[in-house]
Amino acid sequence: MIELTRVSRSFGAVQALRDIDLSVAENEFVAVIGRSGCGKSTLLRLIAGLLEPSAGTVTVSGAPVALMQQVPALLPWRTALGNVMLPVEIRRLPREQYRDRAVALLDAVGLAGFHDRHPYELSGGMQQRVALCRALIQQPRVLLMDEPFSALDALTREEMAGQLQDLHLARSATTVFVTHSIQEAVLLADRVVVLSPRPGRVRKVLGVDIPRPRSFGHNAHLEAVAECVAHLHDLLLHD
Amino acid sequence: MTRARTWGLPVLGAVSAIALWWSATAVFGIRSFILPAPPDIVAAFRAQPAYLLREAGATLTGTVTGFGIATVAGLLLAVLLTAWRSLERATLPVLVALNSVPKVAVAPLLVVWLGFGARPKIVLVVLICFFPILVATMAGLTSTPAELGELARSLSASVWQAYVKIRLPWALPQVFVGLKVAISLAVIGAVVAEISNPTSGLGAVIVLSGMSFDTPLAFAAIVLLAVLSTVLFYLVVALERWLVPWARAISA
Repeated sequence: MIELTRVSRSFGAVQALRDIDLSVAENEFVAVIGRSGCGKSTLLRLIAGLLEPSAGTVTVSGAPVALMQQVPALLPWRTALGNVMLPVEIRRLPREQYRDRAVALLDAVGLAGFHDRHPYELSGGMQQRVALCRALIQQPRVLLMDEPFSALDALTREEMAGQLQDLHLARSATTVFVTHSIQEAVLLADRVVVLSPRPGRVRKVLGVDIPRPRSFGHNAHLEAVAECVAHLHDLLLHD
Repeated sequence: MTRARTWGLPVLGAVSAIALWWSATAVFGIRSFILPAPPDIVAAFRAQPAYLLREAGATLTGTVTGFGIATVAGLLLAVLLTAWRSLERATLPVLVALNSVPKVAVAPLLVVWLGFGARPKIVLVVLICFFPILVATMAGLTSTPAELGELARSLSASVWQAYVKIRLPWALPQVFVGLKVAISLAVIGAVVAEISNPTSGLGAVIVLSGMSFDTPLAFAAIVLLAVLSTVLFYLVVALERWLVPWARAISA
């Protein structure tokens, strides 16, 4: 579905990514984890087609591709529902049909009763939920997420990660999820790609063989989760 | 208390200013043809209200027509210049140079070129208020946040869609900064045109009454101009509140 072959990217004299090889299978959930400035976001932008690689090739088969950013990036003059409908209008999809979908999505992430509110009337967590609905309304085959929960408080993060898991289990899309949270990566991903910084390189790809649905804390696979988290900690700390 | 502050204080300020003016004319015995007292001005207006309102109408028509043309032209050119940067590089210095020409100096020439009708007035209004609208709109169009630009690209939005759905609405608060500056300038432009070619409008009333030492009539025209200008300004403010209610909410 997504294929990166010997991909490098430089910004002027600074090499952000070097020789990245990565392939993501259909409906797979891959988390990309690494320290700040290791080129995680650059990698995602290359896959999204927002940047061109300096060397190597990026192929993404399957459309549409939806991007969810670190900030909600909502249009302040549109209501929550209007913001979710933006991709529908831009891609010229049938509005009536997708309006029902938009309503269902907003209800599913706990925003029933907030459809007609403007972004400035919503909390940061609510805004990011609207952004998630906006990404999902397009029924993406490929979903690219750039630290989507990093600006939220700890509790909201956990809650949204749980919602994302539910949505992924209900109707999966090939997902690349950039994060610096080990917990999120272990909760959500089939595989975790660990990047090492300056220049960004793939240090390790770790499979997460823990049955779903997973959860933070109390569950039957506590040991497996702890082991996985510890392993990733090691990889990130001892670079 | 808040109601008294919003309405009471401005009224109090205006009333005291008029009272001060009135008492000054009375105390110092200033003659009416030098500085008329408020009642003289009211009397001048009541002597020929139809004439004054007709001339105010002429000024209003010229102002609004020119302002409308400048708004449409300013918005269109701003879109063009921000979408096509090499055009901006080529034309913006010329536009800046043209704008730095004192418009008052051009007024007599416009009469030579365009005759004695309403056209030189409209053209002068356009010249004087086009630039603030252009500059403000360009500033607004180039201030689209990076994440919104990225969003548009990730949705494969066309250039047209990006402008209509994202960049232009985002620019609206800035556009209104330009429009509010421009509407006050528009009235000045119309009056300057009328003074250099006193065939109609309140500017003409001021010139003609000055020639006959009818200062109260000139003051009546000036008061009407002030009222006209203020009303137009607040109409633009009302339009802004109606079109971009979110701007106040996100900047507060």
